[in-house]
This record gives sequence, structure tokens and C-alpha cells, in this order.
Amino acid sequence: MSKLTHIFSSVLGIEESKIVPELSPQNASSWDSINAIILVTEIEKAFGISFTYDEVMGVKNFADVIRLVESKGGDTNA
Amino acid sequence: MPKSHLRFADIAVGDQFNFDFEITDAFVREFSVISGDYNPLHLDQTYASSTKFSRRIAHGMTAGVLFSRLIGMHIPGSGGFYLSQNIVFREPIKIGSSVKVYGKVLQKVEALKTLTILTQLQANNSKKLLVDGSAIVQMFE
Repeated sequence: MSKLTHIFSSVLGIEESKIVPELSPQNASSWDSINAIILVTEIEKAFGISFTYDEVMGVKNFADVIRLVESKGGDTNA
Repeated sequence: MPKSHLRFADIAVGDQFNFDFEITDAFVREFSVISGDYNPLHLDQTYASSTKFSRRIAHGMTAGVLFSRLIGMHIPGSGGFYLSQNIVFREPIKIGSSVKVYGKVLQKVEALKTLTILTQLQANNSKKLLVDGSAIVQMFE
């Protein structure tokens, strides 16, 4: 499993096999405001990238996170 | 009143702060009253001497209250608020000892104005790391 999947699984307490592109705050109750902050913190640290406020607010699901990390040069397959 | 009121821009990765604290018998007894944790390991020498520690020790969450002081009074002080804290207890906190409460900014997330801060409790005598952890704090401005 990828580093990004592992972060989501670890922070949200969801099995890695269930971290799918459609995963979102609407269908994952543990993806709340506090865990959203922890996710951003962990992703920035793991990939050595930084997000803007608008980028963070624009994320609607896991697929958006993959696209955003890749747009910053992060290897989401690692 | 908090001794610091820092803004997000005032803080840099690598910034550090520390203060010393005496783990007195009176503090341990007061902690028992406030927390309601009367485990005899902290209060009863006869009981404690039968454990692997051989003597009474302070509550592990003493580190929690000292980290609260570190965050709420110093880095960043009144300019921020706690979002999370993880704590790993590595060594017992001895009653009658002096400890150093240490914090270091590890990470800043600009988008959310959050800080990740290393939080540690160290024995001043032996220099041993007693308690390890990290906090996430969000800044108001």
C-alpha cells in the first residue's frame, strides 16, 4: 500500500483496503475537522510539500488528495 | 497570564523552550485530589515497595499537565490552542526529583496555521528522557 494510503488508514482508523478514491468526510465519520488537520500535517511531513488554504478547503475526497499531492510533485505510488 | 503571545509568523521550525519543575510529594498528593487517581503506586510507600518500581512514583499524566503549561504559557502561549497531544511514558517520574519540560517546533503548516511541537520531560539529574510526545497546536493569527 502507498504512503498516502497508510497515512489515511492510520489517522482515520480505517483498514487500508477501504481507503478508496471515493472516501470522503461524508462516508467516513472519522474524517472530522481535527483529523483533517492531522491528515494535512502528516501529508506535508511525509511528502515534503506545502498546501495553501484554498487547496486544503477544495479537497472533497481521497481522489482529490491524490491529485493535489501529485500536482505538488509527490509520488503517491511510493 | 501566559508569558507568551506569539503569532504564527513569529515562530520558526527549530524554536525551543524549556523550564524546570520540582516533583514534590505535595504536588503528587494534589494531583491525586484533582485527578481522582488515588492509585497506591503514587501514595502508599508500603504498596509501592512491592512493585517493580520499589518506591512511590508520580502520576504519568504529570507530564500532561506540564505539557499543557508549556503550550499554554510559552510556545505559543495565548496565541494558540491545543488540538492533539500524544504521550509515551519511557521512565518513571521520581518523587523528589527535578525535571526539565522541553518543547521544540518540528513543523509549521501554513494552510491551517498549525504547529507540531516535540514535547519531552527529562530528568535533570540523570538527563534521562522520561516522557516523550508531540503536540499539534493551532494559532489564532
